[in-house]
Amino acid sequence: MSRPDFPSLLYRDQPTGKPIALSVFEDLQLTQLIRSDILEAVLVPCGRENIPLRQELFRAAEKEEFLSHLDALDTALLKTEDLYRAFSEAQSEEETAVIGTFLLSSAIGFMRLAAKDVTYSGDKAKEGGEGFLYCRFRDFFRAELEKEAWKKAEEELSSLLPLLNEIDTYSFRVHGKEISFRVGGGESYLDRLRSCAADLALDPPDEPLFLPRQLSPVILDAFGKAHPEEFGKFRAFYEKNRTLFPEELLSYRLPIGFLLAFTHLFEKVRAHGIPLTYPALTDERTIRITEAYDISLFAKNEYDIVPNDVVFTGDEPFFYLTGANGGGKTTYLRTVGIALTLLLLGCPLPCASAVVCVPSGIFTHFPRDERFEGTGRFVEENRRVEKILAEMDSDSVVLLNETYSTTNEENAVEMTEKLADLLWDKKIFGLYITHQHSLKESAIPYLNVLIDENDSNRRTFKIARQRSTGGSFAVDVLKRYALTKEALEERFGSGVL
Amino acid sequence: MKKFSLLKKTDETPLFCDVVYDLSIDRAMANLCPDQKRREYFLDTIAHPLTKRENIIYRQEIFRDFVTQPTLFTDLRLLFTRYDKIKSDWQEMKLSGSHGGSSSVNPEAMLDHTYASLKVTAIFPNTIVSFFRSLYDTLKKYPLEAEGLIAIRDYCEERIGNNSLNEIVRIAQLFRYKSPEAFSFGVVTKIGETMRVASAELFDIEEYQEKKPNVLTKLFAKKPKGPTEYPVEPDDNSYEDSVALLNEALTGIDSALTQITNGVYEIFFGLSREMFFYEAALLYYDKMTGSRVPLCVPEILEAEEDIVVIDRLRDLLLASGETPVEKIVPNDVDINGTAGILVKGLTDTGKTVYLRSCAAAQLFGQAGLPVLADRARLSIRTAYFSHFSSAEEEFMVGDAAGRFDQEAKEIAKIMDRLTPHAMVFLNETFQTTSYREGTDAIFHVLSVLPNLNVKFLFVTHLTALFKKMDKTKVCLMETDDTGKYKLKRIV
Repeated sequence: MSRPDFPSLLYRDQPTGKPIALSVFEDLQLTQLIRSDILEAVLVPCGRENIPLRQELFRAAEKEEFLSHLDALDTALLKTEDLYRAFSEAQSEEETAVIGTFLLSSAIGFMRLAAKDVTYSGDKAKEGGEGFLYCRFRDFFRAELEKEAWKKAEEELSSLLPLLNEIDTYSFRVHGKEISFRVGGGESYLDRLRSCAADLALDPPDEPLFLPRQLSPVILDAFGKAHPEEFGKFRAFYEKNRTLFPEELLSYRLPIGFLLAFTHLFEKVRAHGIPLTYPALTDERTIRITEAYDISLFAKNEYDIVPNDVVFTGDEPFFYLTGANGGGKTTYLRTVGIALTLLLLGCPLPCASAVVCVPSGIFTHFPRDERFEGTGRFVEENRRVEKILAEMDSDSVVLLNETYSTTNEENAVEMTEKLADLLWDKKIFGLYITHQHSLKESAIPYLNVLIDENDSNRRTFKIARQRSTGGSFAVDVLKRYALTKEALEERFGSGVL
Repeated sequence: MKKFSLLKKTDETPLFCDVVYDLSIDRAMANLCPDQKRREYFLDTIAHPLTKRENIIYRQEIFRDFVTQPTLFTDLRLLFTRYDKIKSDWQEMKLSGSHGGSSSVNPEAMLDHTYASLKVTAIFPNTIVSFFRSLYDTLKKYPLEAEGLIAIRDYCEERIGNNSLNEIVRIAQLFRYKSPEAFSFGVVTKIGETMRVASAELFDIEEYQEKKPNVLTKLFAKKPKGPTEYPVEPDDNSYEDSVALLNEALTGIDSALTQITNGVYEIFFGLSREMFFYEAALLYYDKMTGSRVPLCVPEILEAEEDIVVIDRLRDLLLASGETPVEKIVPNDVDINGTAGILVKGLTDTGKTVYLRSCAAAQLFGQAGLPVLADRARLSIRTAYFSHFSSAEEEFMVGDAAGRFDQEAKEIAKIMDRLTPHAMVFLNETFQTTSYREGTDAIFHVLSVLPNLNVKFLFVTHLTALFKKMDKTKVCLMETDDTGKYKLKRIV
């Protein structure tokens, strides 16, 4: 049987976008929120043409039926992967035959599942049609299973698989190097202890942590002698179908894992009352996102997140961001970075509404710890800046967090101005968080963190476009601690004494 | 599975109570209980007042049995101390036998280590059952009245005859002696779809007896009935398999026995520490009865009844020291129908003593102990708060504005934590600002407390506050300025 081309679940054709650096995900704290085994899938932006197709998949995954289906596919693939690993390590004919049989059975199980009508029932995959990526995937397996070889294998397996129950239990007698076994088992001491624990209303003892152990060929041969007929049937089936297993099937773990990881993340986002929006794409050079949330705060178990608006236009694509420490500057930077990264992956955004052009790439520059080797901090910082400048283009997004904070003030001011001016002149979308107060007047607009002057300078975590205003504000002690008559009565009701 | 406690019958939600030190209960207990460990445990228990009436009565009953039968207390203290040591002995034995075991990669060494660990584990089921027997024999000697002690006695009686517990002891006994070479083991295994062994459990252990080859026996021996035995031609790999399977099977038994034994053991673990509370409480009782200070067991009422009535209350700190009973002036407390008590008076006329006596009585009563009064009826309080003027405390230095800020912060913290039916003890609060400002500020605070049914007892020099308060809603009291330490209600 010739090998077919397995269709992608994430792209119509091959991806065209520039890869996103892993450091961007680390800086945005997204690595704290998603499984590390799917990073390979997120480092490649899907490109503008694939964004609507992916959005459809995520919309479908909002339905319980489709999500359960994805979970089932993932579980089936995980099992197939385990069997494939065991199959590669088989040392005896008995092992190869039995595992090979179950591997094929598991593959068919996955294909049957993939071929099921879920959410897009009956529709044929068609260009521009709803659910194109998923329907193409489903239709492919549906067609595969119609082939004679799969049909025959499936039929034979239905009578072969139950045989495992007849050859799966052995009782060993062990003394030193003497070993013998017999077929079947008996009640173990552990069973008796479990039953005693239940009688005494104790929690059942934990199941022993048992790493599945591959037995030596001598023992497996002896099993073969104990069950010659059963093992013979497995061997015969395996010999006949040994070339049928399609290894390409295993590559679906990445796209399915990607869809599941983000869908589960979005469920959590919704559960905390944060809206998710599928952005409208525009060809204008503009990014307008209202009430965007920094969901990376979830990693710190913070869920009471203050949303902020994000507006970049062709006229004002780049901003300095300044303000008090702890006021939410870095959070805002991550809010922007996360929204645009999710956009590039075809995901919904954590915000109330969004109209955005699709950037060509995203770059971040955050302070690093001492991990770098062999160079000074400033040199390392500068090297990363140079790399961004070399890789970005006029449609990129660049997010800078206290860049040049590792050199003296005079130098820092000069370098900061130079870099910001360069990005401004190139009309790059971006933000530059800085503490430098002596920057010269320039065309670059400012964003500032807002504090509530009427409430003890309380940090609002709101960001707005304005010049920074410093200063401190005197407050009354009782007012500060909500102990005024008005504050007390608002909380506890009118005074009664 | 339930766990016995001598301090409460059912679980409680911990309530906020951070008043023990402000109210000098620690100083009183230092006079009564010289042993620091016991004293601290007692104070910690007092600082966690019970919130359920049934738990307070449960504790009152146990204390009464200990008071009326002193040897019952000493017998139980000894038994529970020994019992609590079982676990540390067990852990010590496990540790002493674990040198280099788990990190070894040699399968035989691993097996020896597992078996050594199992041998230690196997000792303890029997030890625990023996304890149940001793505890039962002890408790059966006394005419018990406390529900908690009767429940312990009955539980032990049931456990001694429990088949499952005895089965566990029997299984454990199989692994008490010798080493793996002395036995032949039966291990039942399950094979999964990957042809890997997915589980290995022990189903048999018997002392190994070498079979000597005998031609005649072999010739005429009957073929054994039952399933066919398949010998495995031994090689290094199969030997490693058998050792590994056996090791897993024995580890499974060790782990299960450990968990089950722990489960059985936990039921009484920690009671020796709970006995610390009663030990300190008995010292308190002995001292007060020895000094002829009247003691009464308070009538405990539900929080909603909102009653605090104490007749002829005496101060714990004074009574715990050398002051003779005749010199301790008793005072009455009655907060019924009012929002709280406001006390004024000259310095050193007994205002603070009154405040701390009242708080101590409420806390002791809610801890299931007798109180220093002729009669007491106390509703359960859901939280306790105290604030002692910062002028008297750590802010002896510093500007007044800073001290007032600190006080306001502390009061705000109390306001944040208030629960319905809580009690607040305030001593000269808000005197770090002008009298007018302080009076107004504290008046607003006190005014909203009745909305939550929170009671207060406030000792103050802010006399203008007395004019602002409605006498029908607040119990206004003042001390006698003739040095008699007697408080009277301002009518």
